[in-house]
Amino acid sequence: MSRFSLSHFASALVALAVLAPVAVLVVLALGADVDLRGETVRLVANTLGVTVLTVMGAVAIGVPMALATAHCNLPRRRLWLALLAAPLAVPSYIGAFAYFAAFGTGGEIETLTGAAVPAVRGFGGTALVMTLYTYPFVMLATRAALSQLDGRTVEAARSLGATLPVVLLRIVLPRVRSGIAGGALLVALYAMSDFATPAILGLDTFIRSIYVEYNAFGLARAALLSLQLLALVAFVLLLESRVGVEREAAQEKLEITLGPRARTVLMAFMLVVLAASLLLPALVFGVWLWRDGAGGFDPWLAWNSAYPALLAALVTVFVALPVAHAAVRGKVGRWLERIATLGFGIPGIVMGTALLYVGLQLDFLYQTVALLVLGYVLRFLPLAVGPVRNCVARLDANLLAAARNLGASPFEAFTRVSVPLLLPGAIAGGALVFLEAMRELPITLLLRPTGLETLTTELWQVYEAGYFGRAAVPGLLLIAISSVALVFMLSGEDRLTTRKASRGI
Amino acid sequence: MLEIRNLTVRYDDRIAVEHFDLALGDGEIVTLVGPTGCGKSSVLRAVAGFEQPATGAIVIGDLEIDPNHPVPPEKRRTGLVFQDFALFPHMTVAENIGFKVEDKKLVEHWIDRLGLSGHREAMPATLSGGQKQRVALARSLAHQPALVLLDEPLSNLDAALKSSLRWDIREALKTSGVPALWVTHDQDEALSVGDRVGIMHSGRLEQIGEPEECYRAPQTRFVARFLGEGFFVRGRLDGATLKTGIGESALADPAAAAELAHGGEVDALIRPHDVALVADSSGNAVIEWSRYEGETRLYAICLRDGTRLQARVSHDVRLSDGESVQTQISARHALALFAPGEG
Repeated sequence: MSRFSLSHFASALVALAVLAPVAVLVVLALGADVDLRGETVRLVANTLGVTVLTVMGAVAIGVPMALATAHCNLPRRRLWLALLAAPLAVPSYIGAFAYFAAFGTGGEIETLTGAAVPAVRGFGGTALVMTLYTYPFVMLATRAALSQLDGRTVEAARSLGATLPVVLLRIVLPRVRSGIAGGALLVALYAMSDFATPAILGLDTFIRSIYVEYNAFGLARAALLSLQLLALVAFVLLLESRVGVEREAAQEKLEITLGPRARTVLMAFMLVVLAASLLLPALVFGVWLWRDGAGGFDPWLAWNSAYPALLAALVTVFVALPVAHAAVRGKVGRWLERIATLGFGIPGIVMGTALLYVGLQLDFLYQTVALLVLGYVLRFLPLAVGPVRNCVARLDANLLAAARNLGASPFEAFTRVSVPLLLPGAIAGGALVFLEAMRELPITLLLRPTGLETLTTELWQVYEAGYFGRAAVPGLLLIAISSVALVFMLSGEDRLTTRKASRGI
Repeated sequence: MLEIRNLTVRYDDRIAVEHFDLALGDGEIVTLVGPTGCGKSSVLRAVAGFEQPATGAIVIGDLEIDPNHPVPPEKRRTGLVFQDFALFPHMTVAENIGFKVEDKKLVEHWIDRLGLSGHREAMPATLSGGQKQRVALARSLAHQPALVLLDEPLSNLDAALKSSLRWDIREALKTSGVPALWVTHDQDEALSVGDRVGIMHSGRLEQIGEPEECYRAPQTRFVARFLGEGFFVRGRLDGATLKTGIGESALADPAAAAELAHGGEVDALIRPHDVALVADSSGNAVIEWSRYEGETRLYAICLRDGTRLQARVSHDVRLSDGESVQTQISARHALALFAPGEG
């Protein structure tokens, strides 16, 4: 067996394809009429400001939630965990749209109750909504770190006379620092990359300005802004790669016993968080459905969402196979895999801008579903590589040799050994890509052929047109799709960490 | 039946196996032993069809294979038992054993024969190492191979299991009547389970023969050292007798000994069991260190002329480091002789 195989070659091609958008952006940006200095300062300030505020909010909610769901004496901890993790699966445009429509003068809350509530807009509003949908990153990463912790040190500290708050601050939290930091960096990445929230709530961040430039046919300026944003993202990724995980051998699980009053306060806090992140959007879309009915809904939208996503899932799994194969076979393959999975760090709007330019140069791709599928594949490849790699690792070369040795032809060895071993990973990876692609907004918005309206683009147009009632059915369908995605992701917390890891590479 | 003629296997420019000849009789078990990288596994993989030999012919039953007439692995009917077992993780024990078996009675036979009845529907991941090994063997035998190839079958198991499973495997192979080529790096295993033992070194077969013959009459110093602890003592030929600093020994073949000799001198192989020790203040050796082994004690001794050797004696013999002893050849058998030389 040679050290470099066909899968290395294929993996290298995929890695090149992922890097291509960045190269395209550089070429494009060189043609920009450059006077962005004043604007850049403002965009950097807004983007960083909202990112920092979101991270602080996510840590403030995520860390107590992690402690509560992992170690406190609460009833039905698993249920709380599933519910508290759910906001991670809610697409940001659903949340932002709901807050946009519910609050402020003429909002749904005022219409229904008559009570005047302030609008959720701009800097504070964006940070608030992003916090509500990103704190699970911190919660899950902190939980993972907490589960490594040896509970006996807590008992030791308490037997030495420390009270519970002192123990938490001095014994527990310092040891899960890196877990919290890992989660916080994911939040930062999300806050920088999210398209819908700043766009809907009207905060001028890099993302929103890229979209404005795109709409004004300023592709070159959009590319320049994209590169500046990528530099910020790269910095966060670099930080994240340096956060190490300290491992302790947990002898005994940490248990925190709370008094009845503390429990009531904690559970009230959790209920408020859930009401704000899950109940409010569900109510807003529910009210619209009740008021306007489902009559105006065009079922073709669902099909238009499904079939490009299905194609993307199939292609992604197909592409993930050689990448995963090369990755389990040594260092070179692992580096190729890292490059090939960078797509998750490239914000959707940036990927969309780059591929749009590619489409403008290559006639046969422009305005085709193929270009849209390509966008999905490059962005969501890491979701498929994770599960596929786990299966490929199980497919030892000796197993195929054993099948041949027992009298199976190469084809029979493939169908009876390779396929059944790879299928679970391929299905799991493909399903994740399918669900993510169905919900994707910015890439779909930029790359879909004219006339192809999907659930997400319909929602976007309803928002832009201001006729909210028509958003009810697509919105609720997208919430349903997200719930399925959540079940998939939660079917093992480890799958979430794969997802996390693939984001972080 | 298996016959290997003049087999050479190359990896890029490195030669793994060179001019290798071997023939297996019906129902015979031959063990191939040697240090890591000596080429023993390459022989196995070449016979199974997973390495393409550069030269040489392999005859399995009435199949004649050479570089011009390659045969794919699935047509060779060689039951390869892998070092890591290579059980299909998505199939039960019974499905693994019956992978390509038409006659399900054979599957049942080997499941019962190897004591796996309680694990018929178990998945491989839930089995212990010893059980996995039995499944791997049952899988090979149920496919009615012309020949069984075992690639370090016991190296992934713990010591206690090794010695009992070794005999179970030999027993199963013998009742099936299928010849087997068994590769190992453990000389005890090679000597105890093989009808014949082949010792490999740097891609070549150094010696092949019955275990006792190879142990007692190694043809090279490498074989002498590899099959057990061995030390060399210089001696002088005197008619039908060998005279050394630690006593005399009868020669098996004085003519052959004379041919080896250089200036009337040869080196004799002394194993730790071949010498006796008695405390003696004017003795011919000094104790360097000792190791208590339970039933026996191992003593490292240094002769007056500087030759170092080891003696394994009853635990009753208690001597301290630095003590002077009289060392004497106690072996009744003729010693293996080598041309005098270094090392």
